[in-house]
Amino acid sequence: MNLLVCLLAQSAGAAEKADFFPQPGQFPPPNAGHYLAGELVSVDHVNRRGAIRLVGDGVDDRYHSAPSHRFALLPYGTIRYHGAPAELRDIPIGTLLHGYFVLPPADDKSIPPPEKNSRYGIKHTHALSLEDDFSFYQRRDRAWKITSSDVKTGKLKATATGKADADGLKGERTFEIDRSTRVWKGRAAGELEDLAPDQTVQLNFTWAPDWKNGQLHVTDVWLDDESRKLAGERQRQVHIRHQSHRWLAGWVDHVEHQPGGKGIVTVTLFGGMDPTLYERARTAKGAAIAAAEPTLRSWWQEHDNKGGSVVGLKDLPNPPPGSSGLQLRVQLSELLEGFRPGRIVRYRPNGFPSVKLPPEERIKSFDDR
Amino acid sequence: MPAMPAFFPAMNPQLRLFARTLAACLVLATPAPAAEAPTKAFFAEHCLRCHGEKQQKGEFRVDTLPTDFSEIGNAQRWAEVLFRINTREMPPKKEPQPKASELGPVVDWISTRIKEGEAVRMAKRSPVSHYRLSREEYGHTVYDLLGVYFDVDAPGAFNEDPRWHGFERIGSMLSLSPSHVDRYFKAAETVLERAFPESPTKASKGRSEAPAGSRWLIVPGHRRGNLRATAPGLYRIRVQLSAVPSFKGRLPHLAVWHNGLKRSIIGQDVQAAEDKPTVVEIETFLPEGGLDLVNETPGMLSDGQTPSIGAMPFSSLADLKNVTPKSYKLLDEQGRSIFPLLIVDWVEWEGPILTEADQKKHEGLFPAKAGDLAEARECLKRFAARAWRRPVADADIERFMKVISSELAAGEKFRSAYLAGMVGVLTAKNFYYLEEGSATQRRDRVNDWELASRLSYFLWGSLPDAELSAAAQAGKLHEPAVLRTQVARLFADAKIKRFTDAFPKQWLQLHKVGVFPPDPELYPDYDKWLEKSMVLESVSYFTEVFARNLSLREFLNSDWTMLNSRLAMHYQMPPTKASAFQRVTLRPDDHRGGLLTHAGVLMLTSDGTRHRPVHRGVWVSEAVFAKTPPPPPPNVEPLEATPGNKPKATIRQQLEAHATHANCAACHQRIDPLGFAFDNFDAIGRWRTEEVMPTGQGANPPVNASGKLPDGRAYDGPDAFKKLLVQDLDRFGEAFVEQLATFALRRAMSTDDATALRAIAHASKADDYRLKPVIERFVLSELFQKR
Repeated sequence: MNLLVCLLAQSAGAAEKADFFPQPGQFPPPNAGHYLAGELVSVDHVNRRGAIRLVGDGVDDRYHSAPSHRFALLPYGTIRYHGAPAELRDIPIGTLLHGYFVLPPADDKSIPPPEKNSRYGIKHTHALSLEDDFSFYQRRDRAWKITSSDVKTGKLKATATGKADADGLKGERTFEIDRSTRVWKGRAAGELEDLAPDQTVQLNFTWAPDWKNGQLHVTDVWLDDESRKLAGERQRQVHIRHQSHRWLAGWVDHVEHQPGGKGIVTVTLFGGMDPTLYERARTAKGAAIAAAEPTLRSWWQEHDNKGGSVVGLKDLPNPPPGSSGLQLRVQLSELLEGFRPGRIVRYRPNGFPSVKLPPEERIKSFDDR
Repeated sequence: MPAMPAFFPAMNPQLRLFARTLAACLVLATPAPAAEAPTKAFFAEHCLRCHGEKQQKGEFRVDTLPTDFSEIGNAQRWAEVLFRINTREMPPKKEPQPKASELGPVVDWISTRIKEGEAVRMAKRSPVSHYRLSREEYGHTVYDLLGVYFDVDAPGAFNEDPRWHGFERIGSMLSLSPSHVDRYFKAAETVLERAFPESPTKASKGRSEAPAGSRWLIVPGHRRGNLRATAPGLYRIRVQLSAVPSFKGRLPHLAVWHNGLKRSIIGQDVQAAEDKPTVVEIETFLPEGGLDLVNETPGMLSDGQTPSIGAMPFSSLADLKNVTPKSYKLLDEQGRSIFPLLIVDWVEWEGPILTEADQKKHEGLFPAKAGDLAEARECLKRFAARAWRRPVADADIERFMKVISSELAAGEKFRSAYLAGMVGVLTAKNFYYLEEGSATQRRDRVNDWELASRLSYFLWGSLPDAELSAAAQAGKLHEPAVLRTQVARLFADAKIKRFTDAFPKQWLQLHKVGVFPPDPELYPDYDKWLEKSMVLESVSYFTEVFARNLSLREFLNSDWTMLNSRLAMHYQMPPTKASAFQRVTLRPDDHRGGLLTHAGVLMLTSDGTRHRPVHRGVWVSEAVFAKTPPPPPPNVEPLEATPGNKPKATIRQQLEAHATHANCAACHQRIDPLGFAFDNFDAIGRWRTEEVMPTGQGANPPVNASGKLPDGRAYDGPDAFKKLLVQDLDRFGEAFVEQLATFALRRAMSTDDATALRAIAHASKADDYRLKPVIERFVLSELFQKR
């Protein structure tokens, strides 16, 4: 089955799937979202938005006239890169991504809806998840087994291993390689000549001249476990640094108002972060909370947060997608307008740094949202 | 030097008389043991072997210690004996140790006599007695004299007056230092400059308002308005506003904030729906300076950050739905206000208001014609007579006329020279001292002028008015019919408010309310307005008893109290109909009634973290029985918080463990039951059934508010205790008259006064101890007119 057939099948499947309408305070059910794959072609990483050019399906007109698919990540939408949590800024333009998309929340204007009578516009513009191939296949216990590699012709033939599911590439495929392709071997860089039949590898892809017909170019090959672990660990550390500065995202479940403007704010942290970050939230006796937006941008969070004692902690069983399952109650002496059920907040367990964020990330007015 | 009466070997007749009188007095609170017998036996048994005739260890002999406690040296030596006993230094450990039942009467006997000696010393009168005006009285006096408001509490004005058991007008306590004299000069200059300004003071008017189409939203702790008092004086402020309570029912507190003093001057709770604004009118004396309206309710800016408060410009609460998420949250999810909010349209002010009555006070005090020294003399004489509250001879003012002349000679203008003379009058001791007696004539009674001052300072806290002075001038004031008429007139005058304000504050020692601010972690609901309301409850309560001429019984127990909206919330009672103080009928479940369950009274006997049953017992003993228990020994260890690994224990349980020592038990057995009765009330006077202990193991222990009075009568809870007190109304009546006399006569009562006090109380029983007749009877008594 070639890629074209595969994409068509996916498209048909998407049409049949029940739509999920994102609402504040409500996580999606399991298996929500429609699968789409494409090359990342533009990024507004501050607002967690971007666009992908969908993988070619053999339709010439689509390739030439379809707009790139603009998307916005839902506040609990997750990104993984090299097998670890990531942000859009971590992913190079040109990387092929796999994602699950749903309809926009009511009144959401972040992504213009498809034009009327658009032949190729897709209304599922809000991403629940985005992953590079490395992450997508590794998370499913899948990989590529090399059949053959020919440096001279620039062809790499490989077969998808593991249990195939409806989404992603399957079977034996031929990809393009050249000297731009990075080969990762152990803790060092390898060569194309290191590719050999029967090796089980992970691959990342980008555009290739025959994209229209599903052709892909290999940007990276991870030859062994050590190289994959190294890539994952580096990304994990990038992620931890990023999140600890920007604090964990979540939304407010409940506010218990007390006299004098005090109150207990209950927050559920979003999922997809590194487990060590949740562990720090779990053990901190105090925390600060700052108002944020669905883009996860905050309002001068190191200044306008409100801190207090953690007075409750609950691990919700079987958390839905997007949820960490970790729910915390914080006693605050003052409440902010942004502390309302369903509203997005940034949560800083004691011990996370409180620093000024880059100014372009900070929201200064409603117009910045 | 005559021989001192000694404790051993025999009492002289004078001492026996003293002891009998004292014993009679002690009946007030505790049935006193026969003072001599047990103490004599005690000393013989435990002291005289080493400190007697045969041996004087440490060169100290007890059996010859004089018992004239009015001599300070004797009192100090007896205090030393008390100290050694209390600290368990004596008897030495190798000697047989006395039992608690033996120690109690001895400690009580010595400490009671030390107190009595102190009272006698304080009550001693020389041929001329001088009683300095308290600063509060000074303020009232200059206002009544010249119509000038002088803020005696302002920084740098006057020092706080020393108190004796709450009373701040005790002559022997109010000494005079160079600092006082200096401040009297400054005050006099200020007061006279305001009374007779070079150019007439004009009342100014001002208005601030929110821009068209908007309103000022004033959240707790915030201020708006930008008012200005151009000169000190009486101001009228009008504010149109809405006042929205918090979702918990807490009303916003509108106060006038003085930017220079950095405190509010006056305030009140307000309620008015957002769409139905009201106009609040406040009339108050204001110092000069910039002012603002402030929402003086707690809840904002506690962490020092200053996020936006919401929509700018603001026009209605609906605007708050569109504020930035980092703004303070002002409405909850149901749209109710989280905080008490003030929403102001405009504020107008006017002042200083010069009333006709105040203007009239200046008449005849300032010469109409500059340079006319003859008129100046007449004016100054008139002024001195009013200020000094007695007739003034020409010779009395000669020195002030000399001041005027020398000022003129030095080139000063007439106005300023004359004012210098007036300053002299106001800084003469005749003004700031109430003088009684005569240097040349032994008098046991006050004369009519002194009586007029005594009466007016008792009930008005100020100088006699023209009518009272006229009665004194006529030499008829001491006549019962005249005096009775004047008392009734003083009762009916608006100035009686000064008495109904000052007396309960001093009697009940309400100055202690808030001295130990409660720990905000333990008592987050406590705030300054609650603190003020606590004091106002007791003052309003006393005022109500006075106005309705109720029985003294109401002070001990009642089915009503005076509440404002803040206290109703504090007591968890239904909201009051209006925000101001009003009479409220109590239900049994409210657990209130009488003075003793006022939050202020319960708080002033607590510290910042917990209630103090012993302090409450001492307070009851002093306020209800006019008897001060012996002070604690100097080395008593404070109660420690229950360790985390020990079961939680109430303060009572800890105290009971502490009082197992014989030396402690002797006193605690008499004091503690008076305080345990109120264990159902926490440190800020809230009702409870269990005592919340922050440390220790297990559940919070239940409150045990039962006990037994020293006379054996048992009670179970504050209601039963108050009923026992009511049964002792006669004892309370005597104690109350003693408090009244201490306040009025500006001295401690001694044994010499006991009979007179008891007679007044006894006579008051006939009309069920109604307050006004008690006061009137006291004024008409021999005691009131005695020097």
